[in-house]
Amino acid sequence: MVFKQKYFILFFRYLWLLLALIAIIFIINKNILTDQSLVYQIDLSQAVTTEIEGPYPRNRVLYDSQLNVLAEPLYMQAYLPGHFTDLTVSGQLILGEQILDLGLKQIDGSWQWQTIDVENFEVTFDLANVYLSANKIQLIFSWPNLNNPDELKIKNLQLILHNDNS
Amino acid sequence: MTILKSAINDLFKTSLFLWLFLLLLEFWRPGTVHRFVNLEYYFYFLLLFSLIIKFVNFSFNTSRR
Repeated sequence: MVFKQKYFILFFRYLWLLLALIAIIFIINKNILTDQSLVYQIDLSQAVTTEIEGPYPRNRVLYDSQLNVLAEPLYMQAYLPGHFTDLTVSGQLILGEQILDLGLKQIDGSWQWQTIDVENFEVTFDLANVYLSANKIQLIFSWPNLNNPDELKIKNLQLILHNDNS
Repeated sequence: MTILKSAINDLFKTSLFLWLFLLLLEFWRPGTVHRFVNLEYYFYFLLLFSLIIKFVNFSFNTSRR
């Protein structure tokens, strides 16, 4: 009986160690980047995912197959698992008469702005002086002269991170 | 009962050292671990687990007398 007990105890001991090792390998694997680029397809129905936070605050938006903007500004944070040189933001909007100012927070506290006045857009930001908070970049969606929020919708959104330094 | 006690003790020790490792990883690269595991809630779980272990060990030692 003692002989069998010892092997049961060893079995569980190695089982817990194996599970812990699997957890560590999973987390490290999710943070290793082998490609020069990384694409985030934003799920607008989710407020928080493992890589993307936002657009928030959620009380300024309403989701029904597309994101209806009720008030501005909106913010977004995206996790960077490695070093990148530029960020391309692309997507589809319904703007109406509005213009979107998309900003990326910099180290000195300022924003790097891109103005969007077309509904299918693609803009690129330089990440040389980007501000990182826990390895996350911060974006702001601003409609400065917002007068009719019913017109504003975000249909889809994509972030492409690229590293030119190979 | 001995097997159960040993399994629970080993699980606690493994969980504790896993938490320590993940904490160091989070200090080294902020955001690496936190987006998957909330280390604060994990710590509270370890606290509860340690209380359960105290209870299990106490019950086991009491029943053996």
